[in-house]
Amino acid sequence: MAQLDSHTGFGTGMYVSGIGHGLLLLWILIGGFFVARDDFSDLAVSDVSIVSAEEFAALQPAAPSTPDAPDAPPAPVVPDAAPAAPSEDTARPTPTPPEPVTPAVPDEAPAPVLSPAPAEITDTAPVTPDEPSLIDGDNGGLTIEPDATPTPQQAPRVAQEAAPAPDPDVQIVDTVQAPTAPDPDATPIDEAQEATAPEETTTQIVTEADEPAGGITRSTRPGQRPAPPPQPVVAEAEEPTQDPTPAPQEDANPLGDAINSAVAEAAQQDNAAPTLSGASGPPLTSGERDGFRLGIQRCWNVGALGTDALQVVVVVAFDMEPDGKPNIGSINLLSSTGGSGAAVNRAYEAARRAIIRCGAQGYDLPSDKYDQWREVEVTFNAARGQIR
Amino acid sequence: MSYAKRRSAASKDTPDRRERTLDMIRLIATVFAICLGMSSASAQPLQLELDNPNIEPLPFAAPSFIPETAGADQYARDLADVVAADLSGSGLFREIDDAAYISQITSFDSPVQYADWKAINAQALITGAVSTTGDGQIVVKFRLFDIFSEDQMGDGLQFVGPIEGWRRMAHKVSDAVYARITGEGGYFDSRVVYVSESGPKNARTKRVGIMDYDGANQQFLTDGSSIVLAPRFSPAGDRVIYTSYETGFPRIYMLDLASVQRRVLQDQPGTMSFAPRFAPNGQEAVFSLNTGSNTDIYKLNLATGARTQLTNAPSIETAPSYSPDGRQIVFESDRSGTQQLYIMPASGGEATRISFGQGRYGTPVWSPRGDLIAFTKQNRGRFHIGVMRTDGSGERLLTASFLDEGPTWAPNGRVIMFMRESAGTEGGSSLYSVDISGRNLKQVLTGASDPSWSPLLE
Repeated sequence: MAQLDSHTGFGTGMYVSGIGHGLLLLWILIGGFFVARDDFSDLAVSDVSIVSAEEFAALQPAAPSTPDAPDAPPAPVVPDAAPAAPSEDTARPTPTPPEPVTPAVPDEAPAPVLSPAPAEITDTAPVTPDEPSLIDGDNGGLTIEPDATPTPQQAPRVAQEAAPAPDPDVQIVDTVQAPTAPDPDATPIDEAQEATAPEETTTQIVTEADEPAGGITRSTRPGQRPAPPPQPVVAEAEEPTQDPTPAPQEDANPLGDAINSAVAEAAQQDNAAPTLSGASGPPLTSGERDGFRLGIQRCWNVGALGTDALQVVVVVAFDMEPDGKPNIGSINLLSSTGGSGAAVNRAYEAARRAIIRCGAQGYDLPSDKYDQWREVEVTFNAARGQIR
Repeated sequence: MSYAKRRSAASKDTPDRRERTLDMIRLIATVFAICLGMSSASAQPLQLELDNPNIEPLPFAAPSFIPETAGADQYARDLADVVAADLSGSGLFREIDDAAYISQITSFDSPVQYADWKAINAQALITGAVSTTGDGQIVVKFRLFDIFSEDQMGDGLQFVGPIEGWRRMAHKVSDAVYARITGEGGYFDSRVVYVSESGPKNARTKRVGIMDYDGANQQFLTDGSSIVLAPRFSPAGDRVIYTSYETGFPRIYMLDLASVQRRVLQDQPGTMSFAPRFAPNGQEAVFSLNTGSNTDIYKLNLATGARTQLTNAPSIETAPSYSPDGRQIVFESDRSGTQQLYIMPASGGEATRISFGQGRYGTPVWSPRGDLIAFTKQNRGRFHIGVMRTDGSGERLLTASFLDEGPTWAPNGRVIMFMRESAGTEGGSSLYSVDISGRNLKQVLTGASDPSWSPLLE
């Protein structure tokens, strides 16, 4: 029942609305002729140009107020810009100079009527947010085309990149395939595996050329006799023989062989650490060397050297006392590169001062390794560490 | 054959005995060889390399000089003070307060107690003595000691001069100390000509002034009745060449410092001449001459007045400066559209542009050493004093401020003096100096501009 009532009410409303709209359309189409004629006749009657100034002034008190008009523009306040048109005959070609003492002209000036500014303000159409120009920004944003049909609100996008295209639809075959089952009779086939490197037995690759097999590879002295031709030593070693044939010279002279081996090993150790001296003890550790180096560098001041002396590299040699103090008398200039003679001397003096100053109390060096630092050569290179 | 296999082959009859014998021999040989190696290796000294030095002023002590005659007490103290101020002002030295002294210098010839000076970390000690003579002369002598080397640096020196020139005596001592420690010449016994500026900014009075390098002994060479610009010392330091607006147009004048007499060098009607600078031979000068709408560089023979045009371009060429050997001239030009630095032969000819950085370059000055060119640079609203090599490489900016301009080199090519103007209507111009490393920026004199450093005085 409620639905029937609503249907009935809705139909009546539609009829009333349709008639009303029809009348409105009819009024718009044909009613304008009558109105236009009336307005045109009214406008033709009100001829402002024939009203004199006196009459206009007499009519002014009776003029209706214009509450909707905006405030007078600031032009009348400025003497130079305020025209005297309200009190002057409009037919006069030249305006009368303004009176500077009458800034309060709103009583006389019909500025709200004559000024075109209010009309411009009231006629300005508000800017609607639906204007496409406001949306079509040039800042790289999306352009939204006006559309009569509202589009559904899209879900927020979480990524700038479009989602990848879905896979093509799966084609379902009409035939049904039986599920597969492992064949018990089939022989297992080993899957092919990529060959991998065998596990390393050491972290360092040492070839035979680098590491001798343990035998004598060289001697510090020439051999007494030429080497015999190679013999099947392996067989001889495994099968001791009673043959009185003399053995080769190497085997027959084990004493020389052992001495040669020992000397070679010692020479090899010596070659392994050519800069370290140290046969009387272990070499200086890197920390001990750095400590010594920094101990001298701490007192090496080149702030008072000339620019030429700063480019000089000097090598200074000196002896050390067992207590860690430098032997001042032994300090000497070993060599130098760059710069003139005077610059070399200044660079050397700065280096000498550094050695003496910081060595006055003795450098922190291990006494048990005295042979390692008994003699010292220090290269002072100020140019490398400074940009002058 | 491996060692193990040979050993097995050798031990056929009595393996144990022979092996023990061989082991013993091997041990003895090894010890012997190691001893040999040690003895040979011990000849190898421990080798170290240092490449990160400290850059700090060298501490020194300069006790009051010993007065050796009556009336020399004040000079003795003042001399030591000036020497200490010179060295400390260079930025390369640091004076140790005399309150820290442990031992005192009571006699010029007394031995130095090195331990006492080491204890206060004095690395250099300056001792001196002063005496006056009846004929108005002053005698100053000094010695320089390297404390930690416990040795005297060089021989002692003695200077004699008029008593009113005692400051120059002190500067001479400073120069000698500076040269002995740094290895390069000093710059303390020198003077600077400049433009003294006084009065409000819209009505400045400008005079050519002259002073010691440290701002002492200021004197004026012109009366301030006309605007003067850019005074420049002659290579011998006996004359000054400058620009004056005395006639309403800029003209070049040369002033003799001994007689304070001057004469106009360039007076061609309808032209403007400016930016003069002496040639290293002192007989010629280069300057800019504006004829109509163009400015070019000319060379002027000071004796004959003969003029030679060196550049011929529609652009503005100005601020010429000779190389120390007199074979080249560096100048500024806007021929490329912006103000840049160029080098050309001293006789004129094709110029080579050397500045290519951002901004505008101007007022180039060749170093007395010949290795660097100082310049003014304007970039992004800031002014800089900088140096570059003569081929334009290695540009380094030493200063930055509202307005830095007009560099001039110290005689040793280590220090640059320039003009710095502060902003605002109340701002004024001052003279500053800076080490070419960019360190030790300090103000020398206020109310001055356009400095020009003299050579070392004789």
